[in-house]
Amino acid sequence: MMLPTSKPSRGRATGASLRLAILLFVADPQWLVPSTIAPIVFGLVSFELFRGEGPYFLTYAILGAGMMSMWGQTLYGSGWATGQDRTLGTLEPTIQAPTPYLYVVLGRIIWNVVAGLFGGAIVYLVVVLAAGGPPQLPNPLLFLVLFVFVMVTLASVGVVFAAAFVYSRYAGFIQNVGEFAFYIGTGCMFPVILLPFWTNPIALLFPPTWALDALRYVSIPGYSGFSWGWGWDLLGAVAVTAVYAAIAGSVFHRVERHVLESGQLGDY
Amino acid sequence: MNDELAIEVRNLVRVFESRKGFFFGEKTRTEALKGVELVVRRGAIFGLLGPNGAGKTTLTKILSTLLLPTSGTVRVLGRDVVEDAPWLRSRIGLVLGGERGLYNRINAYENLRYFADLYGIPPAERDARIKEVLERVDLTWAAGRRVEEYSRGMKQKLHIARGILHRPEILFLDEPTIGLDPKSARETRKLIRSLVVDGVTIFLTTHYMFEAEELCPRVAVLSKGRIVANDTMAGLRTRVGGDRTIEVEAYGFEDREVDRLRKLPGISKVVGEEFGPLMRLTMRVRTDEATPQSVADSLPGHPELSVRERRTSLEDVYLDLVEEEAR
Amino acid sequence: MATASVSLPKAAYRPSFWRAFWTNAILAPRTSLGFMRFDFILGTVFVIPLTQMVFFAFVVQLGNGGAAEIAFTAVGNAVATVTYSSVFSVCQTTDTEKQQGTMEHLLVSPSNRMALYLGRGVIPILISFATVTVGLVYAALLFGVSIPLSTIPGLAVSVVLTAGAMVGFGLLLGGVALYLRTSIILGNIFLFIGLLLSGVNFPVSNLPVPLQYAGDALPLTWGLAAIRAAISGDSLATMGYLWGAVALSGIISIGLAMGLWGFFERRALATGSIARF
Repeated sequence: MMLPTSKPSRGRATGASLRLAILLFVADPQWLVPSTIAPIVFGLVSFELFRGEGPYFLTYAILGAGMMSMWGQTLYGSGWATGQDRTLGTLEPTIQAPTPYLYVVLGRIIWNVVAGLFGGAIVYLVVVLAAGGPPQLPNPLLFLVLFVFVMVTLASVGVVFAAAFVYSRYAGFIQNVGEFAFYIGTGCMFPVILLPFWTNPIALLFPPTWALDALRYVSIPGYSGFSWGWGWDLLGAVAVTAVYAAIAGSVFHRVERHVLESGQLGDY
Repeated sequence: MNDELAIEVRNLVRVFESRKGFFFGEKTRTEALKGVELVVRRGAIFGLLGPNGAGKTTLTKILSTLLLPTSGTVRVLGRDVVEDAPWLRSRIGLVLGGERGLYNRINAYENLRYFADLYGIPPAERDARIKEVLERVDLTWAAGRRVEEYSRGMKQKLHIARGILHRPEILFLDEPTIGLDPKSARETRKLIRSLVVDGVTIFLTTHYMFEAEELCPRVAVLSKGRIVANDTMAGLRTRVGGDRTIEVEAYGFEDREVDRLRKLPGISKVVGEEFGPLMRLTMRVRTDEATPQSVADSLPGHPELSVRERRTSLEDVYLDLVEEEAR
Repeated sequence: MATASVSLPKAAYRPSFWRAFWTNAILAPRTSLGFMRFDFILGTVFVIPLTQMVFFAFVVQLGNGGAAEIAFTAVGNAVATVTYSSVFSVCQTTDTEKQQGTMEHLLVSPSNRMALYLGRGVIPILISFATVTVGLVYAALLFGVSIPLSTIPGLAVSVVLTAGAMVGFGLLLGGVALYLRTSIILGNIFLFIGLLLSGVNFPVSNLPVPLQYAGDALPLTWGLAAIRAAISGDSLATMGYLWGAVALSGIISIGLAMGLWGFFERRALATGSIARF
């Protein structure tokens, strides 16, 4: 006698994964501590270092520190969650479920974006308190829109980064090693054009590079980033993000195939 | 493609390669499965036995799409486990068991709800189904407790609950009663039988011989990556020399006495074990010519001799087969 | 009623302090995920310092900092990256033991606890020393930091003491990690706090006074001060004072670690959190 089978849904899997991420955080909220301390530290350090930058140094400080804080959470939080799956032994049963693992990762990314925004808000508060007043934003609405878009570009990179944690149990270490290199290469704290010119093409492979350049253009008068301006920055960010979104499925499929071939899915 | 078969394995080979050492200079290659062939009919309970390291879990993972074969053909429910993995994952359940594999910081209900969503159990049916499986494994009373507070046996039950949550057509169970108390173990075996009544095919690995004897009309024995036997219980007993066994115990036997026993009509095999000063000889009886009396008569000079005859158990069969392969 | 004294049989084996110490020194880093892989060591010693130094050098440059400020931040970050090989790695062995289920077996053994825990700091000290040394080489070659040859002996002493003190601090946090679910949180907290309070990217004197006192509690602050003083060729008296401060911070860290390991071990055994992660 054949029994009925369920119909897996990608949207439901993403929702379930988001729900699980929230539940696990609530069950063990100790991560709130570094998630609060890190942005405070980044905010104060960047405030101190950018003092001499000029009238818009507050914006530089907030953008730079905020990005570091949010990027850390968004980019690496999802990968870390996959690493936890390995440690707990839940990676195998999750991969064995019919929904592609990519959609489970998406749920975690959404949570980490929210958590990252929390860090960004703390940075803003800290820097404003240290400076004694908020920064001047020429166009707050456009700033907000582009800010959210930066988070979307981060999420697109975060998804692909998370695949590394499926690929290898050592991905956490690689992440640690590459963290500052990524911050440098994508212009997190300072424009990419300050770097040697041969690094620029590499930097442009990452969606956040474009999005952050656009954000600086609209929030820091007199800012000089990529010569094509923020409009083309935005288009570039959309295009590169679309590429990441398009390849994410393929990346995860290949990575999954690799670990199933190598037999390392259960290793931790 | 044979629709009557739940599992069809042809010439399956699985090799693991890894690099070790500080500079990764040392390459190791392990052939975990060496040309495995087996078939399992739909709706059957099939047992897989084997010593530790034989390749049982490797085979189970390949069948359940968690590991790719190096070569050979593996079909489950008529579909290839590599090409049709997404289709198969909705229809197979896997219970690996153990202390890991569950989210410790949340409770059983939340663990099951998460996987229910991943498997696409309709929301209208989900809660009722979770309640049903928790009742089936007798965990309703602990559903609200964090899994990290569970005993080993409770975790095992939760693994089983997750494995059957989405009503799979075929269920792979890797030592499902390990860590369970006798009552829970019996209930689990009862559950397994009830699943077969529902039409589910069961592929079971176990170390408990009585469990395999009780549940599985047909078993395969895997040793060092090869299937060394695949038969019904009666067939296996015949293979190792009959369904009777005679045991004798005394304070030491000489080599010539053991040789004499080996040459006794009707005896196919003699194996010795020592228990301190006491020695036990176990003999497989091939024909009716060998009786406890004929054995006792061939061992004069042992006033303390104790002789008993019993039915050859699956454990006897298993040990004979595994030792044969070891030689 | 008087009870007769019973002579109990001795245990078959008796643990040795130094055996436990050296066994942990050699084995513990290997049990931690990949700690003793050459690519890990390569990344920790050669890559992390370089990328962190480049990052903050550019930040300083953007903030209109000149060569002196860039050199300052280069030395600061060269030393600060020792946190990965000292604090993180030592804490991580606690996590790994819990995840692998070996922590309980470790604690049920009769091994001297000091030997058990201190032994775990030996290899991290060596890797920490290498990390700081490579970072300072980068500082000299790439960031315009002048390190005269005459300062090398003093610098070497400063680096060794800093590595030891930071590992001691890592052991202190590792003890707390025994009780908590994970030590990564502690490692992250002190990584960030060090960046702010220890004079890594700007002088400690730039901070409000209460934060300066807070920074004094961190071994990294004194270690960095000693290394900067050595590079500057400060007097032996100044160096002696700073070496003493680094050594004292390390001794206090290790002393607290011993006490806290015992305290948190008892707490973890009482609450059952010894195996939780």
